[in-house]
Amino acid sequence: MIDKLKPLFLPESVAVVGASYNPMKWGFGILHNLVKGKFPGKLYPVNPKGGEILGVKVYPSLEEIPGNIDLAMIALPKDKVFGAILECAKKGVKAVCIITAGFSEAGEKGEEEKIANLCREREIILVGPNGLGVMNNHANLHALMTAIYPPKGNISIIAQSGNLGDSFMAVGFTYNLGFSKFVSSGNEALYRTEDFLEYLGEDPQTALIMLYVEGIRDGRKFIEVAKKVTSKKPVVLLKGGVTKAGSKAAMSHTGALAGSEEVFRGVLKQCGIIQADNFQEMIDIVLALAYQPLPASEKIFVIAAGGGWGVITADACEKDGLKLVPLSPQLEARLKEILPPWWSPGNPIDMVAGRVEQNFERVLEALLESKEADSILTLGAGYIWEVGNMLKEALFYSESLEPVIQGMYKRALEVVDKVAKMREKYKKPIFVSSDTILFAHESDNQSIFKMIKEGFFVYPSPERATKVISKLVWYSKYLKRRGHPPPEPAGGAEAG
Amino acid sequence: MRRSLSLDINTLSEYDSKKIFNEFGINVPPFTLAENPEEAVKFAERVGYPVVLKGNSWRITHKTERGLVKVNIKSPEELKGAFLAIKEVGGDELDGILVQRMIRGIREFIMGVAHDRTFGKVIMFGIGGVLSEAIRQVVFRAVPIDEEDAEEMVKGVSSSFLGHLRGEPPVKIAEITRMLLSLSKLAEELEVKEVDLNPVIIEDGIPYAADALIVL
Repeated sequence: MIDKLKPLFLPESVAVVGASYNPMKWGFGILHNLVKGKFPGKLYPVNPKGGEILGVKVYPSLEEIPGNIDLAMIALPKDKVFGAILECAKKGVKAVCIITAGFSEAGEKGEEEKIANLCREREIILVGPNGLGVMNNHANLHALMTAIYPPKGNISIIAQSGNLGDSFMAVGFTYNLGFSKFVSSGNEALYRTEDFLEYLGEDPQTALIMLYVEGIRDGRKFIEVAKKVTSKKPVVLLKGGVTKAGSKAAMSHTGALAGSEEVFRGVLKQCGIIQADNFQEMIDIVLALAYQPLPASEKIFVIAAGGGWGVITADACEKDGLKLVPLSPQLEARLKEILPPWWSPGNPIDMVAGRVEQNFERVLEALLESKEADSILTLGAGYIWEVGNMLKEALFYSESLEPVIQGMYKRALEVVDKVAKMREKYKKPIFVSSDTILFAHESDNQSIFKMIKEGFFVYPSPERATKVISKLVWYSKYLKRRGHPPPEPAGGAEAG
Repeated sequence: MRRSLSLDINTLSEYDSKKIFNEFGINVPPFTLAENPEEAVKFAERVGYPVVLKGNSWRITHKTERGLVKVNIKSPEELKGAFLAIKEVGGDELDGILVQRMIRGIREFIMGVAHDRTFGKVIMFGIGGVLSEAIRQVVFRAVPIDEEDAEEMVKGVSSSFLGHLRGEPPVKIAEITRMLLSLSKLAEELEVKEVDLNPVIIEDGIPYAADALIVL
């Protein structure tokens, strides 16, 4: 597949058919995004009026373009599309992305089939129609209606709705994720999710795959391809059209028919694909997979910072099938050496009033060293910084407090580095949950920003974290059962 | 089965369905097709009471509603009476009367093969047996399934349902997975459209397909 789809993902020349002088039109937007994205190859806008758009020469027709065209973006009115594909075939274009909508997703199957048959016959890679385009971030290819320009990385996306793909990148970007390839497959008249999945499975610049799916056409091929891919890299899928109302919307969106949801759910489990139950969960899962080693089992230590959060988290662990293992006598003794005499032994390990000086790191290290659990979930992150802020606002604040406050800020940042080093050393996932992320901007909480940057996403509530952990545990066990080694985390922005 | 095929019928009778299950090693209670009460009694003496009688026909699907099913038959006299009653109701529509040992257990599952538009033949497993449509706790996997798939399907059902329950021993999970694998084999080798094992009753931890339906 890698070689087959080269013209699509690594084109040396791109034509924009239906290029427009009007910035409000997609025929302009696609060209604009390619130029802004610094596409290194040849760009050929096509419009009978000729002239120039954004300083790029416009050709009146495909025929008149000197040289080959690897990829053509079609942004023409519906009735002109077939004719344009014929021109592409004549010119020897290898891949086409049809942006135009109004085909099978609007109930019009005939025209779309005609186009697909032609492309099949002439061996043209057809993406869409009703697609948003294609991105190869590492190759500076942003042949897209809307371009996000996220940092470069190892996460790739196949979306049957371009908007979802954009959102994955926009939100991911915010949380320091990096992206590699994106294809908005649209109506999938010829090339489908399962084909692109096969490609991304082989792609050395993809370590994690995100899918937004409303329907699969070749179920058997999908299963075959998916099983192969998940043996090497994690695939996370968000299904649209799960409820009857949703599937009605799906039908008009891509025209694909959704099969039974329970069957789909079961098949995903069979193939090792992690299913996200909603958009937020999708992002949450990917944020973990990008940075955290897979937890080898459901055994977990929770480090609490006092109060009800430990209780709520214990409940969340139970609900999501995570096992709060009891502390062994040796581990308990070890922790008693670190924590104050009033510490009550148990898991969650409640550090109330014990979170002083280096205690947190020492406790964390002791837990990791014991190997009695396979992941850690720590609560109350970000509060050292917040306490610094609180001192600044206190009625008793005075200049003399500044060294203390600055000391707290410094320590808050240092802890993040220490935890990162420990994760590196013990190769175990350390998950973080705290409400402080919800007001991190208001507080200018640099420690939270640092955590996110270092790959410790701060889940605002424990159940978001436990849901993610349980799904990672499931995938980890799936790999083990099938005899596949766990993959390295995909990495965030600028990885790969 | 050949007889059914030559008549171009696509639903098999329970007797024929169960014979195929036997071929594939799918647990069914000991059964026979009796043409007369004497045969039925001989069989019952052999496998032990209580037994169940069911009018056998590929045409009739809602046997219970039509009075063609008699359960918990504990003696030869009861058996003879039940046999004649069913014969009376079913008449010519019947292809003999199915006699089987009655399986007793409080747990029921449903297993089957269904056809999915996207993925083709799928294996279904769930709890509730005859009540499964109301309970709606079913899981699916695409055919063919392997040992890991079958185990995950079974473990997907609540563990308290599988363990000790009201004095009954735990379900032998290995037996259930074996049954699911055999069902997958059947779905692979035969051109079936739908297969229904409902209910699958657990007796002493062992599953038995108390009823069977194959649609070709």
